[in-house]
Amino acid sequence: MKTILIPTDFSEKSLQLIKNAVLHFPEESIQIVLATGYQTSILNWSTKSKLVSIIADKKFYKLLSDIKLEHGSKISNVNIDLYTGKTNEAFKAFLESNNIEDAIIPKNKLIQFPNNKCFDICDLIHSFSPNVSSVDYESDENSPPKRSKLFSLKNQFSLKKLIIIN
Amino acid sequence: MKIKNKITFIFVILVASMQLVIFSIIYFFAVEYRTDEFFEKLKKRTLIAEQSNFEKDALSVEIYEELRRKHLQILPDEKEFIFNISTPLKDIRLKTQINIPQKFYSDLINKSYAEAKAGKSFFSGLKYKDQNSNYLIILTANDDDGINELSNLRTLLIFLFLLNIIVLLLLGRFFAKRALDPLTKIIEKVNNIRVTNLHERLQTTQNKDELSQLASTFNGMLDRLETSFDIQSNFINNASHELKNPLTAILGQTEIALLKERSPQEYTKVLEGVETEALRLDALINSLLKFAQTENDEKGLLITPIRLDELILEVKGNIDLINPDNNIEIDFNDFPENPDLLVIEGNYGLINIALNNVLDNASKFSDNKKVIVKIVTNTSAIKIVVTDQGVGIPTDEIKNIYQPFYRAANVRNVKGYGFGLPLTYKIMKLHSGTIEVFSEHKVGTIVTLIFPNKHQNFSISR
Repeated sequence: MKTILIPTDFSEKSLQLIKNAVLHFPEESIQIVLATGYQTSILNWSTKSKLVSIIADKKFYKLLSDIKLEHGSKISNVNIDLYTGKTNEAFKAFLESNNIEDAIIPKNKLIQFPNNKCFDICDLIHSFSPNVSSVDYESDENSPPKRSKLFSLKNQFSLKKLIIIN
Repeated sequence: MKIKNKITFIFVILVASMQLVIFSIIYFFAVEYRTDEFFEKLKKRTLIAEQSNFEKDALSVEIYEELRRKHLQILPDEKEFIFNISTPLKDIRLKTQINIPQKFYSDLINKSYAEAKAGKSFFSGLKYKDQNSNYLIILTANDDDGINELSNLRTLLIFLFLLNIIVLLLLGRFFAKRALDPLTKIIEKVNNIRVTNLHERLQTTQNKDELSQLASTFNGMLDRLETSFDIQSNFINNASHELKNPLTAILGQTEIALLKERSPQEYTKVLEGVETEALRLDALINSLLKFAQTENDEKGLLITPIRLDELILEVKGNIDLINPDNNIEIDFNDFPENPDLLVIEGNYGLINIALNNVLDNASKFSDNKKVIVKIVTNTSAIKIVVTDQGVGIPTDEIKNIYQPFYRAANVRNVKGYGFGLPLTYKIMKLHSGTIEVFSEHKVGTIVTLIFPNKHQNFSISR
């Protein structure tokens, strides 16, 4: 059994990296740690899992359970974790505490984070994790970044032309 | 009528009628108020007239007269009449030379005070009781000031109303134009899109307004049009290419064979070569026909319940016959416990072809490495998941895989026509299902055939 670290931005699209992991390790069963960076000083484990359940939305969990079902005998477990450290040593410790043996990271950056406390840990993984494979990944351009309601409300009132045709 | 004019028109009518109502109410109340006020004035004068005429005290009579002269101006056409109560209306009318209304007269007799208005003239009357007899005091006057005031007000209101209509018309036009401007631009832009610039798109904004939605709708349509255009042009291209290859081979072989006299063995060899190529052509044309059939026969399909596990076993058996080295593994671990969930409704032959294509591709493009097939179900769908360790599909080519005859650059050396996935895609569409292909170049591919779960309710209650 291999433990594989996969960065996530809690978008549905980012879950396809799990499929990449399934393809990369055809012979053995895998355990997946989905992780994202999160700026906070709280390190308690129970608050962490609570935070995760707040950040991730229903669609994310639905798709995650679908993928788990589709590759049931292959994926033995999926953990969602937050990396809250700040130093390189902290990240190494994070890798060790999760027993990470492999990692899959996207070639492009993850961008669809649900809030600005989250940060991308791809670079950290690239530098410190053993056996990193980077794979092709394109984030959903269609789904707009969340929390843009205020902005669009402002747009509604602005005198700017709503549609400018190139 | 253009929408712009229509909007302006409706806007103007609505606001103008609202204004008309408001202005009418204002005018109506002004008239009421003015009339009441004038009656009040007239009543006071009637009382004063009574005092001055019938008061016994001569001194106070003088004072009243004085007061009247000094402080109360004479109203226009003011006349004062005093009659004995027994005077009939006809005589009063004759004497005053004024057409006093009948109602006024009867009110005056019955109620001792009455007021009325006839034409421009206002009447106010009082019944005075003396010891000996009763008298009627009638005062009449014209409210010229009031009429002037009211007519001023009327002119002002009418002028304001007309002015407002003009302002509304201009404003309405301006806003209608502003609101519809993007629409005009969309129309212009869409009009300019031809086959040659089908790649152009309307610009949309983040706003979820109707115009933005319209623009995205147009863009979606253009996307589909462009794809189908591409598919069609590529189809003819690729089809003629694929058809030409065997023909060229046949022509080449026969041409060389006909150059000179050959031995029977040589002829046999050439004929065999021709046969191979002809068989290839036959297979190609057969698959073309099948493809065309699925396109046309959407309604005439025989639909039966199909058990997917049996189907998979049968397809695997077929592939075993053709390609004994295949390494297709059926993973029974996650099979649903309830056998009903393995049943879908569909055309057996077509689904067989679809699954056969997927499994054949999986082993063909992975050099007979392990291929895992499994069935999973959830509340909304029944899925067949096929995972292989094959060559995969390059990321930039994955969007083309459903085009007939399209073949990815990395599989040119593997035999095939580029028909499998388009056909499977079409078959899945026919069964209101979908096919999902996830692939990583040089690592492997996951193909998921998704059928709608008809036993939804059942599986939820379970």
